[in-house]
Amino acid sequence: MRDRLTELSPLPRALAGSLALAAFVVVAAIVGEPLAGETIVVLALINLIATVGLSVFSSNSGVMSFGHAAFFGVGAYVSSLLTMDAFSKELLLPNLPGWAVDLHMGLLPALVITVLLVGAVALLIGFPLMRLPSLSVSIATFGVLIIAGTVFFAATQFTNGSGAFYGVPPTVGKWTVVALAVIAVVVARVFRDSVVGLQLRASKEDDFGARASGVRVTRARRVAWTLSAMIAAAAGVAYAGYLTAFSPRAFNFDATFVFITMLVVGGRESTIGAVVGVFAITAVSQLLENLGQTLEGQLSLEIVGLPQIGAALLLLAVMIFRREGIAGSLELDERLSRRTRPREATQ
Amino acid sequence: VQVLQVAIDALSLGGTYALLALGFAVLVNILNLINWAHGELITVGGYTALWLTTSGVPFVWVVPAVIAVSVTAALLLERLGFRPVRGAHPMTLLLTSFALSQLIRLVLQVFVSAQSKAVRLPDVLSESLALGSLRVGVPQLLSLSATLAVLLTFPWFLRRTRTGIAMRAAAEDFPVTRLMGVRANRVVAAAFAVSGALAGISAILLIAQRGTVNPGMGADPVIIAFVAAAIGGLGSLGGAAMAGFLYALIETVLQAYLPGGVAAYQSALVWVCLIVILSWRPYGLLGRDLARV
Repeated sequence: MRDRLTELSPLPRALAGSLALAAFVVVAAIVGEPLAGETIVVLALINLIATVGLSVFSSNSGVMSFGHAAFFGVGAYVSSLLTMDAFSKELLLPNLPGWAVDLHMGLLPALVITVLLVGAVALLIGFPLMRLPSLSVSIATFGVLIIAGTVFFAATQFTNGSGAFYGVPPTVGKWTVVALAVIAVVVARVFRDSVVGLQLRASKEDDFGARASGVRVTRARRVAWTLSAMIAAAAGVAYAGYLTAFSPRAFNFDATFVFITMLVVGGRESTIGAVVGVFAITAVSQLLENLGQTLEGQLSLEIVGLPQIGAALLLLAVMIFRREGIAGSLELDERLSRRTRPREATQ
Repeated sequence: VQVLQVAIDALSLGGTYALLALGFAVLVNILNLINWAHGELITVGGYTALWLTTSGVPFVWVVPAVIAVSVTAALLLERLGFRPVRGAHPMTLLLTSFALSQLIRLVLQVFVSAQSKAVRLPDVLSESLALGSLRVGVPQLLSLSATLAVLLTFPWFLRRTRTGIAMRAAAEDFPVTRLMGVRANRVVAAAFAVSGALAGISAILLIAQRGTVNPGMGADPVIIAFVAAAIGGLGSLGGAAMAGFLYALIETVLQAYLPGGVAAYQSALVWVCLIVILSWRPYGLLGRDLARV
């Protein structure tokens, strides 16, 4: 059994590994619910989708993106505008143009349209951005975040500006989010071992070497960037459809910081890193939240921000003591096959 | 006349931005450290000013005290947070600084106050001078003169003092500088001290303009500093100062000439300009590639 796993070529092995990872996500979601309650579990899964999306770009290319909260936000706004009926729209957005008022569809077409739309936007943005050297890409993705944030606040007839966006039909349930998370994990894991994924990882190790071997780094980055933006947008769709109301502040730098912390704490080299990071940060935050509430009850003073302090401390600890993250840089299946390979050699 | 007013506004805003960028760029220059916690040094300075002014310390003493506290905070940050990761990949350093910045802000939020507090400053600082039909705010004027003072003494410090020369050498080639008998810890501490001092000055200029302090007050300045340093070319001090003025120019021009309908999109347009500049000069105006050095 073990030998058969190692004999698989990378892509089927990645698929097998991703299914194991997906199974872990599903089990964690089921086990987590009685411990933390449905809302926490679903929000953690939404963070998981967004973080896995971020990892598709950042883990493979080695370029950190600060812009994925923007795609998360666009996904939330666009899908809400597509799924709301005319009545709720007129209530919330009296100045909405007529063509947008008439749009009304179910979750699935809305999800597909939103993800494709965000993909197209990301592809367009990718043309000027992905030509830049690594660090400048990071800086420019920061610009993407600020530009999107400005648009959320300024395009009031579509977004209700700085006010809350509410009245989104509750089209997304727990199992929809679980399904999306599974798809995101599988896509991300398989992409990592696809041709483009391998090219990107080669360029991360040695940019010049990869280019000399015929890898079109700019193009590979653009593909990963587009795909990862689409996954982040799917997370946004789930976010809006599950919570039914949200604020533009959910898509600012703090959101980006949450995704990055989760990815980096878990391990910014692998898909399993993103998964582990989300669960680690969620677990620590929940523990501290409960601790804070107990303390508040006993000391009768207000303690806010304890979970965020915990997350920041965890990030700091990982940076100092274990830079590759909790899960390290190998995927589950890679770890297994590494362990069996020397044995094969002796046989 | 309007053009002249815009020019004056851009120049005085640019002064503040250049100081921010300079304080930020010093650490990039020597340690490849993009220090996001620079904003929190400003916040710490701001709270020091709040505490001193409410306890009745005269303003002449507040200024040096704020700078001293910011310098101390910067040195503490180096000792506790950045020394364990010194020499790591720039992205590791950046993430560390993210964590530290978040940590300081949250600690202030939890243990001091999440609300904005007003700082009482001398009335002179809220006045503005009129030259014919042109107006210049006193804080802006002060920030411009402070910037000019720093911009004039800084090259002298870097070229003529022992510490300054060691810092420049360290920016060129840190290992070789150490082989020449320069103490690494001393150079790094000097860089952090300079950065902290500039953050302290920025803090005073910032509260002179907005009049309040809160735990998040460092968030916007650090973005400006980061952008200016990036556009100027990460690692180039002259470029950072120059880009500070350029950023202010873009911002003021957009502010003055944007028609009402698009005015809300101002910061988006600023960023579009910045990305265009980056596409034209991928390493910034006077920059080099950090990741490859």
